[in-house]
Amino acid sequence: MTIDNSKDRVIETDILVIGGGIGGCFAALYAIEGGAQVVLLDKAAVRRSGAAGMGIAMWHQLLPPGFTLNDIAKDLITSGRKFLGTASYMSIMKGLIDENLIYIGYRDSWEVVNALEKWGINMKWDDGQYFFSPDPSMPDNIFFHGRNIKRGLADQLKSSSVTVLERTMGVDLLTKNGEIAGATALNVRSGEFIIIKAKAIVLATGTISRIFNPFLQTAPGRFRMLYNYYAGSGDGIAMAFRAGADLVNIEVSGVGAFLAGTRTEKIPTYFVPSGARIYDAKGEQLERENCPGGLSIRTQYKLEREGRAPCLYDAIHLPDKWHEAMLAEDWNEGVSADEWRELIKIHPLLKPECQPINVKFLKDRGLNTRKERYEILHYRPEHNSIIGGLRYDENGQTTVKSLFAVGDMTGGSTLMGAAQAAVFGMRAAKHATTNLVKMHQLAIDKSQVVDQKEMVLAPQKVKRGVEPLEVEIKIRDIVERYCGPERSEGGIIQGLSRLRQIRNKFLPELTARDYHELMTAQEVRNLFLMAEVYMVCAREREEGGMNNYRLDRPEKADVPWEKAIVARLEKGEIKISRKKMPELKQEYRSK
Amino acid sequence: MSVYINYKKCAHCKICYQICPMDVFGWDEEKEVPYLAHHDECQHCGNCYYDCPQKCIDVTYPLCLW
Repeated sequence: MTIDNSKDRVIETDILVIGGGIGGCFAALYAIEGGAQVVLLDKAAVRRSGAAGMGIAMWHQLLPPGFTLNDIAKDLITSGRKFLGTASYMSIMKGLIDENLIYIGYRDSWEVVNALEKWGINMKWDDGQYFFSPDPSMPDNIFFHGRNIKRGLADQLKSSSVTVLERTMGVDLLTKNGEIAGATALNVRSGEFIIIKAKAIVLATGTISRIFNPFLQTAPGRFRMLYNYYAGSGDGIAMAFRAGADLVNIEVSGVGAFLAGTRTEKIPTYFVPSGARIYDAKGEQLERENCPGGLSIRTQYKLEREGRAPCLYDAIHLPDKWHEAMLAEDWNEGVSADEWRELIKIHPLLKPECQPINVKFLKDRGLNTRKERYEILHYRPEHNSIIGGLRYDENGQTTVKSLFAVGDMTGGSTLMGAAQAAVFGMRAAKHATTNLVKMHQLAIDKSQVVDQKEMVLAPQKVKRGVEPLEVEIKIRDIVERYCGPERSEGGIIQGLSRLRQIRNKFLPELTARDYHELMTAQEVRNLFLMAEVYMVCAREREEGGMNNYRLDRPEKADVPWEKAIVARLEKGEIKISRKKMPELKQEYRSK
Repeated sequence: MSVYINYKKCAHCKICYQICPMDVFGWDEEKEVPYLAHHDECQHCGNCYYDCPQKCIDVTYPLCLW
């Protein structure tokens, strides 16, 4: 392989979509419908890639019948939790999120569900009805059999005129005077380097899960074992950040408390639901009133100090039907809506499993929920997709002109999951295609192309270097050790110093035995940047709450956050500022 | 190792090679069968286990994660 550009494949398109998850598929399909030429890149294969690749069992943030947008507005104004379900809003988040985005998410929610149905994906339950979650705290969720949602979208792309390049990773963005001119890409199976000229780019590359350790602290770092998509290395966030885009709330990590040694969300343990029995390690039942925040991070630390952690979950007393549903691997396709409602009465948080392989593993292990209690794992940071990511507006536009971002990689709203990705994928595509006539193809800066090609191919020339996975494990180790759930400024300062030391020494020593490892080396490059910005922002965030537990700032444990931390790269330096995110506009407020 | 291929049942359809998000499978052009190219990368998503039409792939949970 040479750095000679004349032999590279060059593609020209109107809109380039990077990432083939739910958001990327929606962006590409709507952009084609809007009359644009579209190229979509996926570093894996659309059929099973992304957070929805294993299937999904619920669709969030859907305006339920009987609710109006005024109800949503009411909740947004009062930080209420009555109508907003999965996007519900704690007062601590006031000022951290753009409330208008949440409003838009609900306003356009049915349009994307109707689009999925038009594309042949069944969103209804077996009885032909939408099955709204019987859980009153999530009135905006529907359960559906979404095992093959990505296969449906892949088929739809295939029958459209979108040019889909699979096993092709976006390397970096090409810019001209701070505006988008295109991107470079690498085929991770053939090693082909590709230059794509585009008028607009929609990024849809997901979260930054991989700066965090797997759930089990004792597990070797090799096993990523994350609930969020395990390929999430923040590629798009890093690309946009390098191109000057704003990141927001990046220090806020999502957390999970799962059954030990599993990834299953089937029995979520975010809080102690009524009817559930949770015991401490000494066998004493936890009273709901003793843990007002549920099994929050603080409750768990308190229990640990008292010698009572870890906790155990007890389902022994529940009826047979519940255990059958718990260990069903088939998306509960045989369970009628009425049966579900009955089961949920027994245990309000039982949900259809999104990742049935976890059930297989539980069975392989011989777990018998009828006979034994099982351990609930500590709350651990696992991803950044809750409210952290690229700052975006109502059209999915980032702070860089002609650069859009959708899905888990975005920050500044409590919308999440496939629904957010779909709504903003659609909106970004509509906005970009409507404005296409005003957009121009900017000239490509050849030196940028050469630099990016040299950078991405460099690990091939390193003979005796370090494998990318080994470096990735070290990044996770540093983040966990110095900026874990319990953190303090001294630790973060030292962690940043270690991170930079490791980066300076080992980035040039990364070696790649094949094209796949060229991809993982590039992912590691992105992970270094993401871990750095995560820790820089975490140092600035002294207030407690939202999984942030600053040991050195107990006096700020309950101080409202009020403003989001915004990060931007200026001349290679991470600059941070505090900014209050917009409240709901007058025109969206109920009359 | 977490992934097992039962070559006796393999129908050479290439689906595992096409879908694995982590590039665990390579494709042996000569024998027309998958091989484990990057088994370290397996994240236990189960896509190959569920999508293999011959059910000839098994995925198991690494002991250290139990």
